[in-house]
Amino acid sequence: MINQQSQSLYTPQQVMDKSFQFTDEELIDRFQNGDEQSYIELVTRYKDRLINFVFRLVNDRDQAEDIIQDTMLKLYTHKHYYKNIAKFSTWIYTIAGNFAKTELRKKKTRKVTNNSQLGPEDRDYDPPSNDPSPEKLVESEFINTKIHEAIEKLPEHFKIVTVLRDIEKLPYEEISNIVDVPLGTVKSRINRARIQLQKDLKDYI
Amino acid sequence: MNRYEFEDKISDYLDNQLNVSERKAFETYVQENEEAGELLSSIKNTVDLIKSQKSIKTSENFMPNLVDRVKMYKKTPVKSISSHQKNMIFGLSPMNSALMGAFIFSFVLLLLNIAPSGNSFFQSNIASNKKNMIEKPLSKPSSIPIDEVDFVSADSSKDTIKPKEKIKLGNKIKLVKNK
Repeated sequence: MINQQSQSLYTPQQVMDKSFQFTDEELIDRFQNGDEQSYIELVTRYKDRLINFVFRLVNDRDQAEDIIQDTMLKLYTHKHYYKNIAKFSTWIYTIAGNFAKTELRKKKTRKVTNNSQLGPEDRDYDPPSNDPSPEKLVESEFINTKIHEAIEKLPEHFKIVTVLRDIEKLPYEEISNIVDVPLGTVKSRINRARIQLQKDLKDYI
Repeated sequence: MNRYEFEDKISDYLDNQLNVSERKAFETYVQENEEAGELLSSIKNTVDLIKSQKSIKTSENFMPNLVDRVKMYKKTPVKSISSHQKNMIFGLSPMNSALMGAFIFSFVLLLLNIAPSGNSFFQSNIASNKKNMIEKPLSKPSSIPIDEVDFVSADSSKDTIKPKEKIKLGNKIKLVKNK
């Protein structure tokens, strides 16, 4: 089925017209029953959200995209492992987070190059700025780089919850399910991470 | 509220997680402590800055690459669930079932070593009978003369009964009964 429709499945204009009517849980249920268009819709909904999350963890855009590919492939191959007792977003974020943690562990055994050690032409993180003024453009890019470095400096368990809360804007309860720690611990980690970030960034705010 | 409690509640305050009384106490502390107010403001600005970070998106090749990977997955033979279940022994994988079997076997061996031997019941009966024979007091016949007393060591440490020893007292001891 996917062979015949592969050329049209991933074209943005070919996305299901009525896809917005279905919740994530309804889409995964339809996918589990054989509807592969629902799979494409889920991928479309979550690929950009997940790459932001994973990128903050691994600090490498290409690697983050590979991890999201692995996550979406796992969604395809293990669709029946999802049970409707938790939110679909919790499940997919957990998969992506686990892949990211595995990659981080592998990184520890290899030489890690910090973003600050690279020249501007080598840096992966180069967010676009909408401000036309060159001076403000440089300043904005500079602050973004500093924020990115400050987040990168956080311990892994602080980084994950901070990204999920302040960048992905997930509720505390869902974060607690994703990282599998009590709600109080999530709140405590986020609080401590924010205090640490404030200390690192106070000169630039 | 002290400094530590204040710092612990900063995120809850910024995320509107405090109840009415906690919020009031927090705001009172901030009003009374200028340094706390500065810290709160600084952290709020930091959080706002992080939230305003530009998001990145996947590349244009993401979906075509994913579709190719899905095609590859479909081409390669995949172990079906039923074939996987055929290798299961009592619901366990072969390795786990071997480990479970070894555990059960060692547990049974341990039980056999701890449990008492099978004929111990009979041995205890025989021992109790012997004990009864040793402890049973010997009755003294009334016709035996007083001056000739049979001494029988009934409570000897040995299991065997000592032979009677006749001791002639003569006029050395006068017993009450002679009176």
